[in-house]
Amino acid sequence: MKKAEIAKTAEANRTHIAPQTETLNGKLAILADAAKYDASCASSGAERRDSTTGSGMGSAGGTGICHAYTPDGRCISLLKILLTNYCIYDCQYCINRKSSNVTRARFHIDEVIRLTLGFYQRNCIEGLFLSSGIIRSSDYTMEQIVHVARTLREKHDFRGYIHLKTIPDAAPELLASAGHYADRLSINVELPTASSLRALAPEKNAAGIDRAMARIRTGIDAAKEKSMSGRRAPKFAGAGQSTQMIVGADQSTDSQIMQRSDQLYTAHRLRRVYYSAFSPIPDASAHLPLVEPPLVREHRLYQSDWLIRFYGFSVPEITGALKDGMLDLDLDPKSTWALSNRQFFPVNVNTDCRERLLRVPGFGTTTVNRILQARTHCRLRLADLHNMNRAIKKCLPFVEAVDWHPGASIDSLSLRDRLTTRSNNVMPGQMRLFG
Amino acid sequence: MIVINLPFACTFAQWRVEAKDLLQRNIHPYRVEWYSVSDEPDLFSDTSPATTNKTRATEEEYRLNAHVPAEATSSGTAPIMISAAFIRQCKLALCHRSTDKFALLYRLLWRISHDEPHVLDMAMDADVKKLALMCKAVRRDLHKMTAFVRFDCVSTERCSDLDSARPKTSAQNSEPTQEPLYYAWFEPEHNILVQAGEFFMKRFSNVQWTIATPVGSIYWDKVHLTIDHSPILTKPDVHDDIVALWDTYYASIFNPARLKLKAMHAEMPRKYWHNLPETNQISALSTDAPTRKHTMLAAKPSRPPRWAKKSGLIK
Repeated sequence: MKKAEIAKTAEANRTHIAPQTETLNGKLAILADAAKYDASCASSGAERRDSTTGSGMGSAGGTGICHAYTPDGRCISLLKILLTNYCIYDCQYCINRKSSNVTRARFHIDEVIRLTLGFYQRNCIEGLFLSSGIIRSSDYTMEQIVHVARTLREKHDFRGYIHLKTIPDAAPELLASAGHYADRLSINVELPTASSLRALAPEKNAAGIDRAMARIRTGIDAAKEKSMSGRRAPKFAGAGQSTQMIVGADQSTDSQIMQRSDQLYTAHRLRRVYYSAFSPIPDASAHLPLVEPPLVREHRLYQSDWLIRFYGFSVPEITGALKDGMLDLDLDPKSTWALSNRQFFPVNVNTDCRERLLRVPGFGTTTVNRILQARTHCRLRLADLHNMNRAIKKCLPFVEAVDWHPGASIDSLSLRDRLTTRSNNVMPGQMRLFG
Repeated sequence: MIVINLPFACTFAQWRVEAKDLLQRNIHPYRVEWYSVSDEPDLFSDTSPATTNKTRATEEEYRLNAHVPAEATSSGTAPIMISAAFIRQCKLALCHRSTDKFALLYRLLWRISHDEPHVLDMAMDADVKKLALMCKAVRRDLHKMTAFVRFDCVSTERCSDLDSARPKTSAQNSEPTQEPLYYAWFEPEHNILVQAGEFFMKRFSNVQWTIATPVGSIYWDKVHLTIDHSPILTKPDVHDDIVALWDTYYASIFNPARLKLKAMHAEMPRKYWHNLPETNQISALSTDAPTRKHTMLAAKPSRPPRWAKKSGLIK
């Protein structure tokens, strides 16, 4: 994009400020609304620090705290806002794309700071998650974002959590400076394949995003190392980096999404990949018709994400059992895997290893830890399992204990139905949407 | 029967003295009856002679028992080995509001030190399960307190600067400004004032604040953390202007296309709502949500704004 064009857009942006966007309250309404399609809200994982040694306020480093919940079931942990919703990009799925008629506003840096400190002091938030539409240029926008973080940290000695959205093609120095002030950095990949990105977000560039993520990873790794003299490197995004993928805006399958996530986890060592069901927005693009948000699909993707990160599953193991590359909406991915790998079972709770126990449907990491701890002192019976885990019925066809063997039930043809009915009972509200 | 009376806000050290003594005298858990003065809150609020008498009575009985020779050969000198994990759990469980916590902890201590050294590893054991549930309840209560305590600024000058957009002049700064004081009201289920006090002291160490609760209050004057166990019975009527902005944020960050009330209720049960001003909007937001979603789904795509086209950026 030519510089003159960008400057012209920025000029247009400035002259089109609607009157109701003048007040702080009005701007907050617009710029929070513009930020709500970002699913990330984590405030955990930061280095431990508090205000006792400083002049400002804030602490971090424990578990994340959610200070409120909205009726969509999502938590409010951070003040999640955009610096501005003016944008020179035209990403079709986005409410803030330049071709949208949404009301535009722009915060002064000072206003963001006063909102953050004001809410934080009332204990309404854990910190700030700042993002922005791209105005003028990537560097200019990134500079503005970094400026907010720098002021909070240096002028106000703010020690709460800061999450900054990073613009992939911003200058490396700006990225470094963002990492210095923020606990977490994120760049949204938005769509799993480069071709989808080309079709729906023409200004974005998959290779550029990967390059920026690699750069952030290098920064994070470097900050963990000590020099020869034992001195610590300057801190850099202590809570790591995360990203988000929109689910249901393009034709990508769950397999493609999981493969992309896996690649991000391994290549850039991301802390989290968030999935965001493509949600209806006001003033949608003609190129991307709106649909009901695929909430169950989003939930299943998160479940598989957990299986991969905490349960020792690999992506091919999960995707291998899928029809047309899509996760079963009626059955959780672990049960799906178990049903197509029946020869793996039963798992003996008294003798089998942790890795095998983790594969049992209905066993979470807590139950497995309890089993491993208890069985060093005694042989476990069915009643013991029952006392350790409330979801005992689900695991019965898959486990063996002193006084229990599933017999032929593992090979039963009706096993799938039995597991499905139960998962229906677990979340009736969600299932009805698609029933 | 040995009767032991411990205060409602019993610390680990207080309980430990009693438990250690009982254990060294080899007194079986079934012979001990524990109770807490919190059973009679009117005795607790003032230092009435009744309380002292009761304690004295216990002490007498105590001494009496001390003359009884130990039941077993235990000399009382053998060190009692307790894992750090059990001590952590004891500290948490002692915050629980129930009074059977004392008996439960002593029973477990007895079992650990007698023939079941690994009892804590047995998650299926009824006592261990109960202990785990108690700790979980206290931990959750503490977590929810750190989340749902809301401070209101009660002194005038400096707190209102969020609403006045004007920058402060040097003249204003030189005036003697009143120190901002932050005030919160919360109703914890368990006795977690000490832990909550530490959390908020670390977070807001450079301002003065108070958290009042029906079981006592916490004060921080920027130097000392004081915990006063006299109950505050009514919620004071304090309002902060920032609540209006916070309400706006709450309403705007909500996505009407993904209504999930059950998930919200699970994490933010109704009992907390009356202290969270933004929850007043929940009913309106959730009633309007389906209409808002259908309006979005039914709307026809609009034409891009003129300025975006003019700037030559729309293909």
